[in-house]
Amino acid sequence: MTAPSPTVFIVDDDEAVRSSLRMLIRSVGLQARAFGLAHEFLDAYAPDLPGCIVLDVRMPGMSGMEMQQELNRRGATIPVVFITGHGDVPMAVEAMQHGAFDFLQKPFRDQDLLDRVQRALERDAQTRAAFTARATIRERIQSLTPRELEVMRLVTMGKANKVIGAELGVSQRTVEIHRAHVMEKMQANSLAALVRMALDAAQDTENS
Amino acid sequence: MLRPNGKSPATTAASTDRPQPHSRHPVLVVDDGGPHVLEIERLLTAMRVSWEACGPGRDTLDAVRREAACLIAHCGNGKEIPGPLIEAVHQVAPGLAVIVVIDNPDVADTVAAMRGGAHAVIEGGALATGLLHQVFSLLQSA
Repeated sequence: MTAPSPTVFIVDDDEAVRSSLRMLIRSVGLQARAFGLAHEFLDAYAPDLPGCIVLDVRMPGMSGMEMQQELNRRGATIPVVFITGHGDVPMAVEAMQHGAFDFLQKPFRDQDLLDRVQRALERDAQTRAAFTARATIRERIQSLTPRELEVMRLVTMGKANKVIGAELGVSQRTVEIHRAHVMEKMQANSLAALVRMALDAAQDTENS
Repeated sequence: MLRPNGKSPATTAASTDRPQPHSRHPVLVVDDGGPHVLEIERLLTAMRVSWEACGPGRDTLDAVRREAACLIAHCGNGKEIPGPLIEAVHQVAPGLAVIVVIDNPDVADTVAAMRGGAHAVIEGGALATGLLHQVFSLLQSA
């Protein structure tokens, strides 16, 4: 199954802006979907769809900032590029502090927006790839037996097989067998790779 | 060079009605000798925030090695966004909030500074409201 192509979601209450942005984005071969209200976008948004959002700050009903905060509450990582005709420094600071990917003041050059959209899509692809990699590591860790998990913990602490054996009350040979199983199940081709996976998993647990 | 607020030239600052923020660590102000620094120090004193001044460059890095609530650096007209300074500070003190004061910044300067790792950008002409908002929220969330 191939991954869906990224979509640029445009959320702006101004029909003329929506049309021109949709046309601009499609002109470089990207998919674009436009929404006139934040709620319309939120109702339609599926987090598994890759892409980015070009979001107007000022809209009737839910503002762009409020929509960004709602996305944060939902744990969405999709990059948001704000556009506004009335931007100022405090507004840009607030948007960036809440995790906006970029903030662009209207009127802007077409190429400036396209460059930012391109960078936002790259960021989204990186985030999704990292998420997939972490999920894969989680699955592999879940496939370990409790004993293998214990051996992995001690191995990644830098302990030698002999020391691990003594700690667990098993022979060095038994540790070697568990260690081989761990390396195989984790698909780690080196101790360094295993340590990286363990660190990623620990980070993942910390963040969740 | 560290200059604690006890020796600050600030004497005429008005007090604020806000609840006083609590932080075990001082706010560090990079003293580059510019006119904004005295104003920043005066306002922090008025806000009853504990602050210390430190010199630019290596002096700043030495200062952030000790604990600090945040660092405030003035960086001229925004064309001198202190990306390397922020990067160096974060190497020594990861996660330390760096508030950048820029004279007449535009939105692009602001976004560039924020992307460069600044916690916030304050306009030189709006120091009082900017500091009040950014420093208070930082200290209160600490």
